[in-house]
Amino acid sequence: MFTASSIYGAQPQAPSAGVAGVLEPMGITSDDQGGVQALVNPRNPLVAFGVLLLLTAGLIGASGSVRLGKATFRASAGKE
Amino acid sequence: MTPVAQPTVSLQGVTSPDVVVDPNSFYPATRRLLYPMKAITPIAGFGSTDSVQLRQSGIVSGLLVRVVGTLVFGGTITGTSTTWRWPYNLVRALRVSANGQSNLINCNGLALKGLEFAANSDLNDRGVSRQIGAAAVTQGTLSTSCEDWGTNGATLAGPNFTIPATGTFTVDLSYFVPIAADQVSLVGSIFAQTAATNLTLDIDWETQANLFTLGGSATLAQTLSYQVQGIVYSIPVVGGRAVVPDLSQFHQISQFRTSAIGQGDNELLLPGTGVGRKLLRTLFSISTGTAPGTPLAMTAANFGALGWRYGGNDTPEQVSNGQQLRYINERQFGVDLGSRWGLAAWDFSSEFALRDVVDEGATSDLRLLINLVNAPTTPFAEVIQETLFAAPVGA
Repeated sequence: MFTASSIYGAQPQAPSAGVAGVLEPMGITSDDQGGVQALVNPRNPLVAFGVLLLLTAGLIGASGSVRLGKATFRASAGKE
Repeated sequence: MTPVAQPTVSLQGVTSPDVVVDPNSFYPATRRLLYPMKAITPIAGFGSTDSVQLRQSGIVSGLLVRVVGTLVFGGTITGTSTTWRWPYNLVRALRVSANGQSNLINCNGLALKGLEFAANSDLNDRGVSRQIGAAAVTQGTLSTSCEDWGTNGATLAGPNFTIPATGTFTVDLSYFVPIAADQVSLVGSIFAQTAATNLTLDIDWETQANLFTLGGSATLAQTLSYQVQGIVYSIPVVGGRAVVPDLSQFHQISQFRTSAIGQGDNELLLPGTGVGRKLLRTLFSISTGTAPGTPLAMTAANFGALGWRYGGNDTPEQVSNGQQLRYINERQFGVDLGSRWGLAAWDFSSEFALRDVVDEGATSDLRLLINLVNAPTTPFAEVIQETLFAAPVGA
């Protein structure tokens, strides 16, 4: 039937104040994870980036020592 | 007991009773109403203004303004004549304000006549004899047969006419004010069924000096009156709901005048263009000579290239001279618009509006191209724009 849109191609610039609509949050979908769970998710590109950063910087290190009487056992990796 | 408020909505920027936009239900159920909005009343006088408060009922699609009465010429009549402002520009400006929008319509009487013939191609002036200057003219007068430009016995008056003798001339003029852009769909109508706004019609009457040249000892007394009829559609209740058609747009007719024109190419910038507006028609005329001016007939001798233009130099439509545009207008409207009153039109809505209307959001610096062949004497252009714009947006 006849409307301003069908006859003239005209559209209202703003919705009528009489039209009530529910505002939807933008950019958030329901299956997204949040908090710590999202930080450690392997699909999170930040995780892979973080691992790569640590390897490159040579900061991965592990050291430990056990002392049994006079004998001391030490082990280390990745750092002198 | 807690009072229960009537739910309200906003239509055309004003609070209104609870209605639903439903064109499919509206058209079969509404009733066309035609009733007086102003009983016949003497005009305030030449050079004065009459203001009319219109009835706030239904959906207003048009107004019919009639001016009727007499002109009594007396004294020594020698040197007395009418100007080219007579008769239609007796209405120097007709202004309609509604629903918070001032001057939705603001143009003179001749513009209303030109637009009426442009919008309604079933209407024509063929064979209606009117006096213009010293000749009886039967084409291009923009007059309907019912009208009377001035009659005193066998003497018929018109524009640029020398009054031959003292006497009383009867006058009867009719103007249609198109509140809606389209009288079928009612797009552009005004929602008047609310106490939250005022609908006003102001009519500025032209000055006597611009309408008539009186000889040194001649006198003129007028007894002109005016009346206003409204064309209104009722708001029907369908299925328990009050329904209305699409009222999302306002229909605007505006006019401006400029004397900044001369021989050769002129580009007249159309003021007020912008996003959300659609240009339906634009009409223009050029007048020259001693004030209040004589319209230049739309001929090849008077006008060179005519067109409309936007942006840097985009010119979608252009004709090589005034005669070509006059041919185009006569084909479109069924009347010879440019022969007597010098009007010409670029029409974008009569044939297929959806295809042809100009979206002003995409045509910045929209302007008319008018080439004058000859050097004019004290010229001025009168340009009329007919647009649609989104109702909640300011005019």
